[in-house]
Amino acid sequence: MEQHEDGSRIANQKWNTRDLAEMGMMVAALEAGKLALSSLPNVEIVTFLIIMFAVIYGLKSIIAVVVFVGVECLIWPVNLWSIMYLYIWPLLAVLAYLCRRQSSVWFWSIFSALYGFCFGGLCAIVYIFTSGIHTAAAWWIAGIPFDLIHGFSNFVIVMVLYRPIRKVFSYDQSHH
Amino acid sequence: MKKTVTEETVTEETVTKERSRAEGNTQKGGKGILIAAVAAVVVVVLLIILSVMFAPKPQSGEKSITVTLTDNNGEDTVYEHNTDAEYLLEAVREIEGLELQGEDKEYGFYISTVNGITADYSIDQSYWAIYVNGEYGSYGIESQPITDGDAFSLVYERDAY
Repeated sequence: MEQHEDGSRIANQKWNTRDLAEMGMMVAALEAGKLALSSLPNVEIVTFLIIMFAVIYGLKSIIAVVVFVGVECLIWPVNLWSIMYLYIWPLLAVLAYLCRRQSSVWFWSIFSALYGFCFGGLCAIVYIFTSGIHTAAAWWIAGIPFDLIHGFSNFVIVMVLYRPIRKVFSYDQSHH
Repeated sequence: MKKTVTEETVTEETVTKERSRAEGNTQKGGKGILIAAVAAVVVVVLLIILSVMFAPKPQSGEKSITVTLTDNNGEDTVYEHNTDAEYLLEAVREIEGLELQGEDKEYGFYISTVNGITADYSIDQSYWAIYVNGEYGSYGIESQPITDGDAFSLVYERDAY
């Protein structure tokens, strides 16, 4: 089976059963990861998982993230958060995919911290359309302490988990 | 025999290619780390500056405020109040005729019941919203700063499912 280095199939080949299973598992892991840490404010493992999936599974991870967002919309009442999710996680998946050649734990730790720092600002975009730029700015600024905690907690999570999880996945990839 | 030589050559070539690519990656990786680190530092500094400059701060001394309660039938009750409190929760607790219940959560005090009217998001997506001078509040009641002349509203709201 011909594959790119990032694990994604070349363009003219269709997804096979393994790809579908992998995408399903990615969605399940994202849902489980999100739920498991939902009681801890500003600590989440979704950013870490999306990064790992982008590095290991390439293009497939973006599809999995889009499905994850769809599942979230089905589970939870549709509100402002759903709209933020529509772009915030796919955007992260695309950015991580674009940087997928990076293999340093330091790069990904800083990358995830940066995304955490910008999280509130990215979410605030929705408020510009619903409540105006003034409310959006006020909401963003009120949340800055939480964005800082979010960024630092992302950094720690990736720093601790990146290498061991990467190792497990590379074992899986080399035993097709 | 010939075949083995070819295989060896191919393997050697592959190894050389992979090694040079790995070296390239390391250099690129270093550059990537540097760019990401600089961006992260810039963003953190920017966020701290914004927060220090623009986050609302409470005013000390006596302040006069109004608190409007909008119940689950959309009916308003207005309370005028003078307070030394710096944050809204403390001020609301001083107001006679306004009974607030709730619990401390990870993010701060979460209002569940106002004057006997309970909002429970897990049952019917209802919650108590805070408005500050007509705009949707960005803070929880515990961390909402007070300045003189502020008009607050406690509004029973429901998300559409």
